[in-house]
Amino acid sequence: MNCVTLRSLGKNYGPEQVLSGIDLAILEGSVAIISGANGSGKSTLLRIIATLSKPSSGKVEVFGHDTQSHGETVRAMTGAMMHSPMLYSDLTVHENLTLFAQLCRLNDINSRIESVSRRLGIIELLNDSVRQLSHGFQKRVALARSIMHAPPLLLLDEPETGLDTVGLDALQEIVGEWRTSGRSAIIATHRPELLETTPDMHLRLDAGRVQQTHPQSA
Amino acid sequence: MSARLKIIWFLALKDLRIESRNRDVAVAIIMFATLVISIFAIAIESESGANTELGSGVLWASIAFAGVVGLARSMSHEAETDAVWMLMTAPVSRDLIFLGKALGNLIFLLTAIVAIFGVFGVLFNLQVFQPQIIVAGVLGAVGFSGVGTLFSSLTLKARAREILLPMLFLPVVSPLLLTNIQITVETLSGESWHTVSAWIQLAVVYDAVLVSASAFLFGYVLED
Repeated sequence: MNCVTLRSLGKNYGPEQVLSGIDLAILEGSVAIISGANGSGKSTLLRIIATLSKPSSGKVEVFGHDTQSHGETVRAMTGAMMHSPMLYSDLTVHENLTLFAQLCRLNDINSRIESVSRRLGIIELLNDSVRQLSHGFQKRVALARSIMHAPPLLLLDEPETGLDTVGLDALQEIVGEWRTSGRSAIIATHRPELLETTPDMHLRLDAGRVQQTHPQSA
Repeated sequence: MSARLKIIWFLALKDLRIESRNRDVAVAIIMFATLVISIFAIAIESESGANTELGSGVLWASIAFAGVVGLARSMSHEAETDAVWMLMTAPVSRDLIFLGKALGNLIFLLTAIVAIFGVFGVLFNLQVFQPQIIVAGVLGAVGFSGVGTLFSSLTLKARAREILLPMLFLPVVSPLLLTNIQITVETLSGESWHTVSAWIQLAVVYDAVLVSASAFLFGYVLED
């Protein structure tokens, strides 16, 4: 089964065409890397899969569910960490994670928060306001939030940016775990070598078009 | 409490928690409205027979303008570090996010309206804590928070959002504003519930239409 299927996907912002005619299938259980220059459409592609943005044309399916008509189902199956941390600066780390867990209708919220926080080395920061944290720690909190509901598909937009070696180690471990447990990850990055994992698929975007896929193809 | 109501409450609680630390939404609304009312109270002769009509206009215009300031402030927390996307990536429908945000704004507006009524009553020497005017206050807060939540989301990423928000918000809420002014004028003039009730019904219909439309459009506004 495909975790993500893109059919003739296009996206424009006014007259500017950001993505154009993308046909692609990413198999469940695989790690896909998306690379490309700044402005090539990597973040837009991830935002569309995460239902943060609507395609201008074409169709996107996540585990067979249309992102437009089954947005809630798609969001329950994805964990997204975008370029910005997407956290409330005036809330503590614990409050941010609790809010997301409540919206996901999770049980055992405190034990889940403790587990992901320990894993990402932010357990000592749970009662700190997000505003007090460095960008690197905010990224770790964002990563903790994206994996808290154990989604079958992880969407990571330049996850390595701002992470120190401890954060990078945790990221590599999480990506590795997602692969070995049969779950999927799509990672947009300029530096795939930092992830220390051989992707099942490497997709190169150039000016909104797929230039190269390796080794799977649509 | 049903799962959907719980989600709405969690979202509103988040805004109340942020407000309890910053106190910048309710305080902004109260301070702005107090300033406007004070200026008009000084400008308008208290012995004037037109005090009731003019005063009612001043009361509701100051609440509407102050509401714009507070709503913009409330939405600015969502824009910082794109926090609103955290809600957008959660497996909940967009209308629940709207209702949660609108409920938070409604609580701020109601709190502010109570304080503004108090200030207005003292400065204009008018008894506004009457059941009809309190009902108008609640209906005004519901309409303002519904429409305001939609438009403050719409202008979230706009460059000139401080100008754009009042330009969009005020024309749309003006029927509600005029209705509330009429309820206040008639109540202060000693008209019966029966006379005022037609205006109250109009405000209820307006709120129902506007809040439903805003909840429906909210998802389209936030997704680009």
